[in-house]
Amino acid sequence: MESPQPAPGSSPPPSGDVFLHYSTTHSGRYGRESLTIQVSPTGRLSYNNSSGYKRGTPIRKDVTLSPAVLVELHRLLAESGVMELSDAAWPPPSGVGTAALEVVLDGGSGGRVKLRTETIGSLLDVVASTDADGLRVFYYVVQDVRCLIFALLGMHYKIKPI
Amino acid sequence: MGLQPDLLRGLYAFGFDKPSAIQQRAMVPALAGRDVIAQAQSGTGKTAMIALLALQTAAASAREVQVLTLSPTRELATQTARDATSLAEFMTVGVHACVGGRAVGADIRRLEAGGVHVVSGTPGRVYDMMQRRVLSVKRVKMLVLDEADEMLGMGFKEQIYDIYRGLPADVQVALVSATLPADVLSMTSQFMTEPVRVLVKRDELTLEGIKQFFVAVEKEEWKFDTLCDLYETLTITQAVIFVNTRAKVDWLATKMRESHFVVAAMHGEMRQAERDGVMADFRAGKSRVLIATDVWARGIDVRQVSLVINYDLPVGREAYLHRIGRSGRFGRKGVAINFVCEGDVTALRDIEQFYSTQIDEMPMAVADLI
Repeated sequence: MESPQPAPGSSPPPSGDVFLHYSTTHSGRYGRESLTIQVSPTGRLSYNNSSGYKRGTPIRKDVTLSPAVLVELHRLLAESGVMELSDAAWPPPSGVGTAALEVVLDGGSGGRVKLRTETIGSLLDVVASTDADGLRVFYYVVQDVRCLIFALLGMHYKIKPI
Repeated sequence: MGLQPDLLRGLYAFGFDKPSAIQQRAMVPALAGRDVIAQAQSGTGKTAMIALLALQTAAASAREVQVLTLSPTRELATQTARDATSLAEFMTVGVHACVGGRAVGADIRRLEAGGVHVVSGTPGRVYDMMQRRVLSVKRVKMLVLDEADEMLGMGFKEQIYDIYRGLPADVQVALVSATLPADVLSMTSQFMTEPVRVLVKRDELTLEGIKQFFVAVEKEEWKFDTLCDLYETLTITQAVIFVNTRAKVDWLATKMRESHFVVAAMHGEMRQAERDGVMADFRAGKSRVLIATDVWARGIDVRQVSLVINYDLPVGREAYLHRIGRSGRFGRKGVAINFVCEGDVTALRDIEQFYSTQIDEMPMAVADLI
């Protein structure tokens, strides 16, 4: 696995740090439903899946990520192009729901970005946007992050059913 | 687990070697007499567990019915009875499927002849047999509700309580399902005593082996063309196409046939003989593409099914899991494809979020995944 690029003249915190906060939220028939993923520079992963569907209760999972995972997450984010995005031309959050992503790399020296938009349904929504290229990057980086985190949590918590 | 030698022989003859997670975790407390609530992902051995519990619990020495298992559909109750019968090959335990749509007279004769220890049925016919005093439940030791959340939902709840009231007060109860929402769990204290609960959180319910996709179409009318384009992929193994109403099953089947595609169709308004025929052909692989309502959503085990299409998105979130779980049986690979119109995408995204799973836009080469 390749190591992250140290930011030039980086001051503490050390390079390789990742702060990530992702959430997708909507309110509807089943109250407020949300999915939140947060990774702090200390390597703490906090996950929350909340829904009031049929009297459901929030599911919380908190784990510590290994340095290897943090390096991979840093690489994934740095190479995705997400750090260069701006949500200025994106559809604002609406009744459909809100997707929000905040990333800070290397304590800020590797870039920081804060993005908010309406929940994306399909790539049709992306293509229809005035900033289709930017929104596409966002769409795929969110998918990658979710995939990585779900896979890790699945491996850690899930009992193999067979 | 202390299973009877004759049952173990049947188990090995059936090709079982190692118990699945749910079998490992729920069987022992259930066999010790505890009430159990057993939840596990689709296609991971719940029906086999019910069959094993029933056979181990029913002592062949007594002549009365000792175990009653109830399922929401005739096909599922029949399947459970069939699996139990196979496992009981070396035992003297009698198993009977007691379901609606079949001749009442045959049911009566079988039950009156005695030697039936395990009854697997649908609530209506079972209650009917109890009312007629043909099915004696005085000696029933165990009641199993398969697809328990469905059985305790609006459609069946009253019937289940009617049956339950007729059983001995100390009857052991087992609830089994892949989906057990909190509102169902909260009502179990009414008829269960300190149950052992083997549960799976909703974000751990989807199977890695089942890849989920969606196709976004602008208009409902375009779904049909999309389906026709996929037809060749469907016939690689076997596929089930779900729609939300009986009328739509008939409509879609007719329209497919008019376009010279071969499809089978099944819903709850068809005569039972016809349903049985469709099931037999599909199980034998004579038909490869089946269009159905949610009568097919739960429990039915046809291992060659590797593709499920939600032509319509299901109404409930539970149904989504059950439908896609018709593929990917016992560790096999499966693919689910959802057809979504403009307005449905949001509902699908809500399902994706609810289960913390991944439903991607469908790639072109979907055949490679089956």
